Amino acid sequence: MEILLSGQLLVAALIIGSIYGLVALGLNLIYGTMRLLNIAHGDLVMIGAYTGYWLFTLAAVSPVLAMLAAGALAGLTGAALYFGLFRRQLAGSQPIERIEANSLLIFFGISIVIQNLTALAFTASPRTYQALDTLVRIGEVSITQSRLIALAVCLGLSAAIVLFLRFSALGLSIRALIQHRTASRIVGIDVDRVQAFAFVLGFALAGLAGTLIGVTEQISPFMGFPFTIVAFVVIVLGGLGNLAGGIAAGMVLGLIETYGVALTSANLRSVLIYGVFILVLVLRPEGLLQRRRLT
Amino acid sequence: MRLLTTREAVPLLLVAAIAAVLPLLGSDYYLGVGFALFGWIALAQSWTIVSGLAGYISLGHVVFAGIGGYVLVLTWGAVPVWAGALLGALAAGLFALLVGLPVLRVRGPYFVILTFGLAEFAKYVVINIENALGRFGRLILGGPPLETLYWAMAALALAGTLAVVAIRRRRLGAGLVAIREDELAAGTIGVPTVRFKLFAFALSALLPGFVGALFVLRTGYFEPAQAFDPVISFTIVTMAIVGGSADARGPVFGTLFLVVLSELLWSNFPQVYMIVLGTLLVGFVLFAPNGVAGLFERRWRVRGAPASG
Amino acid sequence: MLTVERIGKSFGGVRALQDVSFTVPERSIFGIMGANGAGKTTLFAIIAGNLAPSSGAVRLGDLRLTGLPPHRVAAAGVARTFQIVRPFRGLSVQENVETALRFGARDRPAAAPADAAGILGLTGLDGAAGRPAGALTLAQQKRLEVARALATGPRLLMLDEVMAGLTPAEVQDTIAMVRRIRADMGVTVMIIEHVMGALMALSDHVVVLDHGETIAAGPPAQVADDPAVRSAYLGRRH
Ligand SMILES: Nc1ncnc2c1ncn2[C@@H]1O[C@H](COP(=O)(O)OP(=O)(O)O)[C@@H](O)[C@H]1O
Ligand SMILES: [Mg+2]
Repeated sequence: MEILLSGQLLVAALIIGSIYGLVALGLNLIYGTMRLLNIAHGDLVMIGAYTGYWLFTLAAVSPVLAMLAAGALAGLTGAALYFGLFRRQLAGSQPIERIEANSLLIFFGISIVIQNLTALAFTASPRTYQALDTLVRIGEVSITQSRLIALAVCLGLSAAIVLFLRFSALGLSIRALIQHRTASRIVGIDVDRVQAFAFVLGFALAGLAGTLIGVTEQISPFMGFPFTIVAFVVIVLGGLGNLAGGIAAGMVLGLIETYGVALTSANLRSVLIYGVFILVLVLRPEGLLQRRRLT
Repeated sequence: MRLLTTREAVPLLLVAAIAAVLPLLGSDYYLGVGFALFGWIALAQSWTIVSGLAGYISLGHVVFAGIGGYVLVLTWGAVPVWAGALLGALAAGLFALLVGLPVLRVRGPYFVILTFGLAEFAKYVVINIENALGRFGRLILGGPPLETLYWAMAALALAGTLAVVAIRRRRLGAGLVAIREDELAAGTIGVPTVRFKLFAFALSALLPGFVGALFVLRTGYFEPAQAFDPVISFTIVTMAIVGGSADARGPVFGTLFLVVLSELLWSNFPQVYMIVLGTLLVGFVLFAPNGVAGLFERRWRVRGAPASG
Repeated sequence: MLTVERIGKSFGGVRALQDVSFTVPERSIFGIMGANGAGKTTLFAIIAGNLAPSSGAVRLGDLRLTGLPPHRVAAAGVARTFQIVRPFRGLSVQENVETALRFGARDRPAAAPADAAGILGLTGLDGAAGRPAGALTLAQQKRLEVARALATGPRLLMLDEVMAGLTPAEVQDTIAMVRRIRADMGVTVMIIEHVMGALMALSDHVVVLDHGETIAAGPPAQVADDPAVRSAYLGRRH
């Protein structure tokens, strides 16, 4: 009981929550602007985690630097996929529901390919590494350096992106696209450019977060899917296209998970996450759906 | 009753012919391949009922097979083998009925990810139950011989194919297709959408429950992470989409293609097999949404059409 | 035959309908007018069971429709078209109609055509029977809306702006078709039109909605002269 009231658990929840918020932000950007359901999102997290692992073990590069490389690598992957596969789809005449459903299957295939390519390259065995693991004490709470950095980076980046979307011209175009896809075209926004940017940024954020995650979690080719699920839970909870809401929802999920596990057992973590996922989708799918109009 | 059309007869005859020929080759290897092939055909046809016809794409169909397998091992020794398998099928159908009402209210892509989450949820629940019971995998000894299992699975594949053929002919099939095309409009012209969807969902769960029980009988082993492996769901979807999933031909074509591929690749290069599978899924969704069956048809039409145009 | 009793509907803050009541006589052609956003389509959606009203009730004869799911309303003999067309795009025109023939009303009027050919002939789609519905022109898709609704064998047919965007000649054809549907099959028709002339020419009764409220009701000639209609509806449009 005592542990429930300790600051330690709260900080742990905030760290997990901030990571979830950042991972989900990338998914929200891509879904919000293009209605693409990137079910491979978690695999970018995985790519980021491996980038951190190899840069550290082979060249002793600090994860703080490696995360930039991971962001770049994931961003490049995003650019390749956008220009290679999705641009044509989006520019075509298909109804958006069709693109949405297809994107899910396409990304599902991409996810399987990425996972198995990784397994082929690096084997499927899980890996861990020790970096930035000195303990920092703040009052009664002690955390490893790496998790403190993760908290700072995730919160800082999330805030920066929300501000960017609110105040920069490109950010405003992204928000316009999220709110009114068709109208944006008429208003004279360069939809293609904005889409490419959102796509690449969404991927880069996942890759970057992946490096931070890989410092403390087991790294394996199949580690990504739970993060995809988490990201979906978060954007359903926070509301589609509502980026600030998503960050708050990340925190909520972090709290639910941390306290839920503390109250029950670590084995139930997946049951808990998927349970929340199912409840959210069943109870308010309209949080994700476009407003349905009966005409 | 009308005679069978070509698109109905081809898959039925194909399944029957393969079932008759494989045992003549006189080796357990071919019986094993046939067993797997028919298992996948039964799964893909079941999937077609709710996903191909009604358009509710399930990415979690493994859950029904997992439940079937689990019920089989739970009842192992307590009831005769086939009663256990039948109970597995019924349990899967019952599960579909119970979760169907809330789950089928969720539409489009959200239904797809929801089914995935539901299957994973069930997997972790079973893992936790087994852990709590102190069980780490269950062995079953003395199941039916391979040949018996082969014929049972062939019967399931034929039953699944017949089910899709029969449903497509009936009001149920017409209603499900209308739901796929436009659910609101379907309801407005009088299709009882809720009832039809639920019925289709439960139907599409029955055979997979049976198949899952047979899978366990074949391996002699139940382990939740394996019985509820999401790769199974993924393979079903890919088989159906590669084949073309609007009628009974698709699952048969797609399954044949992928089972042959799997025989060539799976045991030695499992990852390469998965990469090919993923690439095929992307390729077919993008470039041939009507699958192999659609490609045949287009070839046919293009050839039959006058050269001008 | 159809009674609409004090129907109200709000979407969040928007009050789309307020206290709307009227009765549609058997075998009449009943027109509904009103500017864009007046609530006409919402009214059809409520009658058809696609939307639940916030208050009030709809009755067909003795049967209370409100609260029934759409397929039960269709079984009772009510059909509607969609202003923003919703054909079964992947099916052929013929299959669209055949599907509706297999569902729809429980008791079909004796005079209702029971085969796709008859319905396609009546709606002028016989030439397009084999084409995928998604490949039709918008004007053809509007006719398919009517064909599919008719194929359900309705006693009450609700047409939502089926003439919008048609050429004057096509409008004349459609007017003739609606008259035929009533005369030959005994179907009661409710019709929403923006094309004032067509509506006045067709209808026995007209209701005018403005911002969700009934501002006039009666025979077309009387409604056209109504000062409230002139100021609220015509006044704003001209
Ligand atoms: N599903 C809906 N959600 C929110 N508002 C709606 C919805 N459907 C209609 N409305 C609003 O209700 C009002 C009436 O719309 P509608 O019935 O379509 O008008 P009409 O058919 O007369 O042009 C409009 O203000 C419209 O914006
Ligand atoms: Mg309208």
